[in-house]
Amino acid sequence: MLDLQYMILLSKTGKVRCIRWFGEYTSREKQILSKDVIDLVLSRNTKESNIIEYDMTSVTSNKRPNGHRVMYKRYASLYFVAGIDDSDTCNELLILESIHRFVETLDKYFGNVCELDIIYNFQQCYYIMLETFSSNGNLLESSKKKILQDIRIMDQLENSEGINHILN
Amino acid sequence: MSNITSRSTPFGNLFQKSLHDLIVSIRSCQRDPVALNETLSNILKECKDEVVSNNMHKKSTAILKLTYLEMYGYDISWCSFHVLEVMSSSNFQEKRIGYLAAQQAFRNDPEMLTLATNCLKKDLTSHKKLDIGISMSGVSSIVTTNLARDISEDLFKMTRHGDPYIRKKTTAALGKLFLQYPEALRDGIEEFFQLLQDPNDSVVLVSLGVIYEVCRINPSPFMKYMPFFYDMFADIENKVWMTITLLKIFTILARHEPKLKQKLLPVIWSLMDHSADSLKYECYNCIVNGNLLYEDDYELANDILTELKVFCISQDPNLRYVSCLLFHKIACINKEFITINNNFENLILNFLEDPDIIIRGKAIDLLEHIVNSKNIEFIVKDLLNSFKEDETSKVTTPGYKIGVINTILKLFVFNDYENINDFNWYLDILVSFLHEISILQTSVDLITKSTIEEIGNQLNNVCLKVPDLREYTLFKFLELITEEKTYLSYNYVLKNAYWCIGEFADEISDCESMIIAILSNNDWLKKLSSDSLATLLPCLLKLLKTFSLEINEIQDPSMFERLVFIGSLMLQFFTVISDCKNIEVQERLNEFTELIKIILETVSFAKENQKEGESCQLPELITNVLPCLFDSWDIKPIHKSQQIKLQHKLDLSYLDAVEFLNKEDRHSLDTLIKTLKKSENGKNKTSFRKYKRVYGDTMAGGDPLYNINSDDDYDDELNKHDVSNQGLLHHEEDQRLIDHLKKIKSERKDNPFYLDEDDGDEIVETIYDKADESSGVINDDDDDSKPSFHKENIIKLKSNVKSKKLKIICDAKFDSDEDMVQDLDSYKPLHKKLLKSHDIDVVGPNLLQSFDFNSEASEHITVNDNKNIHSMYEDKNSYQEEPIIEEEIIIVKKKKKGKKSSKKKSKDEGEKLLHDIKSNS
Repeated sequence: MLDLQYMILLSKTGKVRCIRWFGEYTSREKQILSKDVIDLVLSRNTKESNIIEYDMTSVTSNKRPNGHRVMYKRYASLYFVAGIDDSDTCNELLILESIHRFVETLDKYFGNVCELDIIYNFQQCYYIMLETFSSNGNLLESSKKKILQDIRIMDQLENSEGINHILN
Repeated sequence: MSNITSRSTPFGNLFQKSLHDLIVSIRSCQRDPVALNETLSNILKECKDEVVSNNMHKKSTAILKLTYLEMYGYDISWCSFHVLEVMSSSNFQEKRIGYLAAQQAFRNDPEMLTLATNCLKKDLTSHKKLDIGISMSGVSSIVTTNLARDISEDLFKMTRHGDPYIRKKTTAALGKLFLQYPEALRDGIEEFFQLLQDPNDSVVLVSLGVIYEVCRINPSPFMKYMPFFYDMFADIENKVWMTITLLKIFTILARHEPKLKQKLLPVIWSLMDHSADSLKYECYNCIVNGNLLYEDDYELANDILTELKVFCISQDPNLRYVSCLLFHKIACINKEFITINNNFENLILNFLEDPDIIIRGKAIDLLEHIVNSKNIEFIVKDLLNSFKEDETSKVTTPGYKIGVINTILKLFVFNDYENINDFNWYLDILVSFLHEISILQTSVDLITKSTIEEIGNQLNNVCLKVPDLREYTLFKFLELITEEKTYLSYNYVLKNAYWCIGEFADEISDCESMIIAILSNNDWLKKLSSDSLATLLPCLLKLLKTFSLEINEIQDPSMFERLVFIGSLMLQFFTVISDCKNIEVQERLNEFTELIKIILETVSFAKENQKEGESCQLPELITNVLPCLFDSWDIKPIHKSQQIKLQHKLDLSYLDAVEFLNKEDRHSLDTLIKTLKKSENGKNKTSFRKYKRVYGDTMAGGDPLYNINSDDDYDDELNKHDVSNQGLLHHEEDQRLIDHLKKIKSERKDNPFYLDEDDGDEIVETIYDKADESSGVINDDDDDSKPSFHKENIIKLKSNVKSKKLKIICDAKFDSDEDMVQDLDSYKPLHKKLLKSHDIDVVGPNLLQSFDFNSEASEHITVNDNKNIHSMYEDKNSYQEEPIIEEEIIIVKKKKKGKKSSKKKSKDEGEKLLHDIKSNS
């Protein structure tokens, strides 16, 4: 119901902190798209809306719709960016909400999350992303609590395995 | 083995850089790009060494590091095998890393996918809950059709798993699987619906998401579950995410089932009271996009728009943006919704003042709905004011300005200048746009040519169509010509200026000064585009003509001198531009140079021969011949009814028969060709040839319609007919194609499947009357050069008819010759229709899109899998349950009363001939 095509975590200096592609793009398309999206997002000021329109004609072949929208939200020094193809059934507000949901989850997990947490624990960030969004860019779990619960179980397993590993 | 290595390194790998070290080292040299590059390549080298290690821990850490590097743009597909090894590790941490790497990096690597299949299958049947969980994520990321077929049953079993986490993951994976393998949904739809009644909310949400996903591509399997979905609204009260998803599903369903409107609207209205904006927005969306808002439903439209007001005036720019979007969609349904009460006009005008440029840009598109002759001046003035950045704090970009200008230009000409009252104002604005563009050009590299040309055309149009305004327009043009800016930044407009000045030279009081003004600065003129130069040359000549006629009339005593001056000025200009590379300019340049030279000669000759006291007269060449070049016809507007009459009289026979394809068809054919060229699928290629063939037939003279859905049968035929079919794909072989088509046509004359109008009757006989067959074939001897081939053909086809279920629709027609043409015409739309329906199937790589659920799901017939896939690749039309009609042929019989007897005669003659030959031998 979200139809995300990608999700990018971006620092305010334009560095990609996490990136996940849900839609099918070639590596060339990915390159152009991420570069353009980063430029677009960084050029916005705070008073403006969080939705940017982007014309894909120059990026992809004609199999996709050309209209494309980039939704972003800024939290401290990090931008959370999500892109969707233009369609009749897209709900921009919902996407912004789901981004917020994701950030809240990260915040709970790391405890007052900051950019460094995400830089140094990028795999954890990905794991949470995997639990929050399904592989075709839809919401997998709307409850923060459940996501954290599942992630914690997995982390515990990892740790106990690590301890077993050493004890053996 | 791994045990031993892990014992030898009891405290992890002391000498291996951890991910943390890696990130620290990258960050330490972030400021220095050279050092950064070096560090990165060093790390990459290290990882390459580590990844081949036997120590799984080391290996997995290396993979994790590589995953990190992937974000920096490094290609890590070379280590896919190592990723697989890590994926299949028994250690959960390593497995997790492996799956992460796989999902990040190798979504479309076929080699990797085949290898990963086994690993995935193994993990799916694991007894550990978390193993299943992460492998489910893996499945949903990298599912292929083959894998889907293998695991679909397992996944359905898993939907009854005790743990909601697994059920949720399975549901998500199923969603992805359905896209690849629609049969799974058809066979398991009831089972899938159980998930909607799952006690766990997450599972329900995900399964709703999956249903929406499928609906978006093909809603047919869910149409009959509408009541069920409808009841869900009551169950999921206060669960915003679910409600929104359900609304989305209904948006799609309502488009296919208009009856839903009555039921759905009350629910939607009750949901609108909810506090969540996203839910409200979804409600509006559902009404607007689900076709619940009819063109004449003013009441509903008004209600929605009134509700939307809250969004419009909200502080949140996002709400303003989406409301602007909705305005747009509502206006597209019926623009009167917005204009009717003038309630919403102000809202849109507010959008134009919005601090956010994106919202303003959207609002510009709305203008066309609210603009009228009363407010256009006001709106345009406001917009132009907003261009001045220093006065307001709003940001404008050059791209936005060009967009605004383009939109306003469109508004001006809209419906034959309906919006414009004051044409003088209009012309002023057009010229001011040019100035605006010249400012924009200095800042950024923009494509402004088309905009400038459009302005030129509009000026031209006014000058041409409105005689009263000609003088004013020409004045404006003169202003442009005397400004340097014009030549520097928007000289495309001069093309129109020159044409108008030349064409309406009679309106200009002083052509002499006009010529001087135009030619005043050679440096400027050198900047002109070749198009403008090409129109400038005749313009000068026209001015010269008018000028000379004028001075001749007033008997100016110094007219010879003045004429010589102007002529030499023009010659001088001609030498300036003589190095122009454009052929058209060169051609005209040479002609006119000679012409001017002749004129000057005759003038000087006349001057010498002029006798004192006699009234001076310019030579004939100037007074008579020159005007004849230009003055024969006036350009005048033609009345609409006259235009229609003219169109009927136009001779369109020059249009080649190929041209019957309209633009749209050509486009779809082109996309088809593109897609097919790309696809390496041989099957597709042959089917492409089929389309081409169908069109080819029509080109060659309109054989009856073949159903394009035919399959192998047809292919055999193709191959038999000609091996050089590949030629069809190449343009340069057009001639060969035509020859080839002719040849085919002559061959088909006697082929029962390609009935030609001339001998249709006979052929029908040959098909159905076995007894006649042999004689029929031999008798045709004299018309057909290849009788043996023909015979073989018929026999072969006959056998095919038996082996495959063939449906022949016999459409008997007994028409006279005159009607024939009409009949053929009526088939053309059919061709087009077929082509269109194919377009969708071939272009869409998604199997789901073309999947026919209805016939299957209702009958619950499981068909042999192979067959299924085979037919799915072909076409949904040919994919029908029972009976499988593999070829459908429509035979149109044409009977000609006169011809038949003659045919028989020729038959008799043939027989006679044959007899003679036999007896001779």
